[in-house]
Amino acid sequence: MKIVEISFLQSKLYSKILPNGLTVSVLPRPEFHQTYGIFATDFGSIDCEFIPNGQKEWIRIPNGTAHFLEHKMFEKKTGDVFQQFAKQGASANAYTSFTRTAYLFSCTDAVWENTETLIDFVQEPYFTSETVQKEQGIIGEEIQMYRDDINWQLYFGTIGSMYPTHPVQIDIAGTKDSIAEITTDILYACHQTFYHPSNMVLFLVGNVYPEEIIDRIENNQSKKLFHPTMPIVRKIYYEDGKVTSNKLEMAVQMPKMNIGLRADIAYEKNGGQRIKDEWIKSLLLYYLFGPQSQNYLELMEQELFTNQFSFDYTEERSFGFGIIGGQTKHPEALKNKIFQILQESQKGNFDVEDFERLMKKQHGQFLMSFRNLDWIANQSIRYMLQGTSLFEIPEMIQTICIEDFVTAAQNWFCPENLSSFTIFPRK
Amino acid sequence: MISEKIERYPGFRLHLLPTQKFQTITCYFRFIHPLEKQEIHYAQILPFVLLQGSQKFPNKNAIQKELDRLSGALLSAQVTKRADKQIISFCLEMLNPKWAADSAHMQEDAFALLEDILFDPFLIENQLSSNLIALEKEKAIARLKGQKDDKIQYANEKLIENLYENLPYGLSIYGTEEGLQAVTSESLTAYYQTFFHTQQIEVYLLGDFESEQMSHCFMKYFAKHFQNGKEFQPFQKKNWQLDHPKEMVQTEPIAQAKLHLGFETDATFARNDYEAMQVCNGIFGAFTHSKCFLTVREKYSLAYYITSKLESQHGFLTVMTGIDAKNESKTREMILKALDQIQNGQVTEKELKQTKAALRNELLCALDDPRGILELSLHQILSGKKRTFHEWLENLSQVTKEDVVCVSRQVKYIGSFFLKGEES
Repeated sequence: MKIVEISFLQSKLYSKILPNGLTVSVLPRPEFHQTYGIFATDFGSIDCEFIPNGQKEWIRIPNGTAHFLEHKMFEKKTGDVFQQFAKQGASANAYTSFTRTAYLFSCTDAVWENTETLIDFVQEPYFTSETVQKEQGIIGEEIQMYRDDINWQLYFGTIGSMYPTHPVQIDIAGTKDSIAEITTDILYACHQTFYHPSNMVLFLVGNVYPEEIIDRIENNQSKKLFHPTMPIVRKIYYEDGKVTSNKLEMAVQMPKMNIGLRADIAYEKNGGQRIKDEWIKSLLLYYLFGPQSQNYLELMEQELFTNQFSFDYTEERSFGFGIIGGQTKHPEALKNKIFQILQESQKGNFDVEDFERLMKKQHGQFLMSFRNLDWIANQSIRYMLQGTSLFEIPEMIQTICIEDFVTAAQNWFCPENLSSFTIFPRK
Repeated sequence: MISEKIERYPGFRLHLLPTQKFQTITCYFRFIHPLEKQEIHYAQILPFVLLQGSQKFPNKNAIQKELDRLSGALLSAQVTKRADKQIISFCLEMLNPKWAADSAHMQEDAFALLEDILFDPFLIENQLSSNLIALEKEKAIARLKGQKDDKIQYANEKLIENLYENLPYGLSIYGTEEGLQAVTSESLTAYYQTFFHTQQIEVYLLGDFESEQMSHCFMKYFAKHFQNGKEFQPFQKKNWQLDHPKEMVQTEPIAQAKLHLGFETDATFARNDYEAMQVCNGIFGAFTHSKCFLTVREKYSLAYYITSKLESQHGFLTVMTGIDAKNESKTREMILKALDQIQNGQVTEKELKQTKAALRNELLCALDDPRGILELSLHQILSGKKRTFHEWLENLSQVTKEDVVCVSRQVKYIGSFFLKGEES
C-alpha cells in the first residue's frame, strides 16, 4: 500500500494496485458526511475499433456503443441497480466521455454496501435482446434532447470543424440509426475487453476508513475470475483532414460562435508530460482571454460578445483542442479579432507580472476546488487513468514558466489549426 | 454538524458559520425584497453594473486583477425568486489565508474590495455610468431572450407565468424587454441610492475561522453602511381556486417535446407537514425509484428524463419530461395516475424506505457544500419557521405511509405547459 501525505487537506492518500491489476485509491475526509465512490474504465466514445480480448480479428463497433453499454450495465436479472442503491440510501449515476466511462455513487450511510454494489454491478454484465431493445427507445429520446441543446450542437460542430475524420467528432450517444445496430454480442465483447480490472480504477473520497475498505475491496476481487491481463489493442487515430469553418441554423435568438484551436499532441509523451502540456495551454488561454486581460476589455468595449464568453482547453489520448467563443451579434468581427489576438501572441511578449499573478490565481483556485468531493473524485480518476495523480498537479503547475507560453503560442496558433463554427438564428 | 451563530445589528443580520471542513472562506450577501414589477428590471441590471467597476477598481479588468492577486478569489452576483420574494446575492469565495502562499492582509483586502464594489461604485458626475448600464441592459435583454434557448427552463418559466398570472410568483425575474429598456442612468442611480435601506439584509460568513475575530474584521468594513435595512413578512399562502386546470400548448422548431405539469400544495416549509410532502414528492417523481420514472421511462421507454420538483416556499410542485410529441396524452395520463395511486394509498414500504433514505442522503450532502449550508439557512429566513437540521432529519424519519397519503390529497393538478415541435 502506498500512503502519501496531502498536507493542505490534512489527510493522506492510500493507493494500491491489486493482483488482478485494478488500481484503488482512497482519500479519507472524515469531516464530511458523504462518501463519493467512482469506478471508471479507460474506454470512451472514440474507441471504435479494437481486437476483442481473446480474439484475433479487429472489429468496428457502432457509434455510441460505449455510452449504450454504460446505460445497460444498470439492468440486471434481479432488476435495476438504481433501486439497489436507493435502498441503501445512495444516489448513483454514470457518464461516458470521449475516453472514459465512469460509474459513481454518493452516500452518507452504508459505505461498504454501496461500494460493493458499485464494483459488482460494473463487473457483472447481463444483456438480453429485449433489454437492449428497450434501451434503444430511452437513448433515442436522449439523442433527441441533445438535438435541441444549442450548446451541445455548437460544441460538436466546433469539434467537427477541427477533426473532420477523427471519431472525437461523433456524438457520444451515437445516432438513432447507429444504436439500432448494437447487439448483445457487441456489448459483451466491449465489456470483456475494456472492463478488465487492469484497465480500470476505483477511487473513494469522504467519510471512510481507508485500510479497512481497501482490504474489503481486495477480498471482493480475489473471489472473482478474470482473463489474464492482456494489453488492449485498439486503433489510435490521427487526423489528416484540414480544419474548416462551418455553420448551422437553429432556433436561437442570437448567433453563437466558437473558434476551434486544434493542437498537435505528442502521442509519445507520458501522462505527466501530457498533462503539463494541457495546463500550459489552458493557462495561456486565460492569460490571453480572461476577464483580467486587455483583450477581454477590448472585445467587450467593441461589443463583440454579449453573454457567455468562454474558453477552454481539452487534451486526451489522440486529440487536443481549445475552444473560444460566445453569444455575439458580430460573429465575423469576433472571429477576426480572436485570430488577431492569437497571431499577436506569437510574438512572445508576455508580461512577467501578469504571468505571476496568473500562477497565483491558478494555485489558489486549484486548492479551493478541493471543497467539492465530487470534483476530487472525478478529477482523480481522470488523472489516475493517465498514470498520474491529481495531488501532484499543484506542484507540477509551479514548474510552468513564461517560456512555455512563448513556445506553445508559436506552435499552436498557426492558421492551419484555427477553425470556426457558428450557429445562426433560423430565418 | 455546523452551528450557526446569528448576530443582530442595526439594519442587518450577520450569520457566522465556523467549520473546518473547507479550505475556503465564503462571504455571502443576500438582499431580500418583495417581488415587484418595476424592481425586477433594476435587479437584473444593478448588481452586474456594480461588478463592472468601482472608484478604486474602475473596470472589470482591475477588479479581476485584484481577485486574481487574492489567490484567485471568486466573486459573482445572482438574482433569484422564492415565493413572493426577490433575492439579489453577492458571493465572494476565497482560499482561506491559512493555505495561501502570501496571506498578509488577504482577508482585509478581500473585504475592502467588496466594500468598494458595493458602496463606492464607478460614478460619472454622480451617476452610474451610462455606458456600463447600456452594456448590462443589453446583456439582460439577451438573457431574457436567451431563456428560450434552454427548452426545459423555458417551459418551466412559462408554466409558472401562466398559472400564477396575477400573483407575484408569476412574475418572471428576467422582466420584460420594455421594462429593461426603460431603465435609465437616473432611475438606476436613484434605485441604487436607496437600495441598502429598502432591502432585508442577511450576511453569511462560512469557513475555518475564529468567529469573534472574523465578525470584528467584517464590521470594520461594513457596519457603517447597513444602518436602515428592513425586515419583511414571510410569505403567506392564500387560498385560491382554479375552476379547471389551465392547459397550454406552444409550437417551436424543436426535435423533442417538453411536457411540464403543475400542481398546487399547501405544505410549504413553514408547515409541519412539509417533510411528509417531501416524501410524497419523492415517491411521486423526484428520484429514479419514483413512480413516474419507473413507468414513463423504465416500463414504457417514453422518455430519457422525467423528474419532479417541490418549491419549498410556495409549495408549487412540477413534473418535467422530454418526450416524442405523439406520446403526450399517454405520458400525461401516466403521471396523473401515479399521483392518483398515492392518493388511494398505493404506497409500498419499499417506496417509503427508499425515499426517506434518499432525502436523508440529500440533506446530509447539502451540509458538505458551502452553498448547500447557506441554502438550508435561507429556508428558515424566508419561511419564518425555525427548523434545526436535527429536527428536520428527525421529522423525516418519522413520516409514515398515512402521512404521505394524507398530504398527497392536497396535491391538486392545476395545469400544464406543452412545448412541441413544428412538424408534429
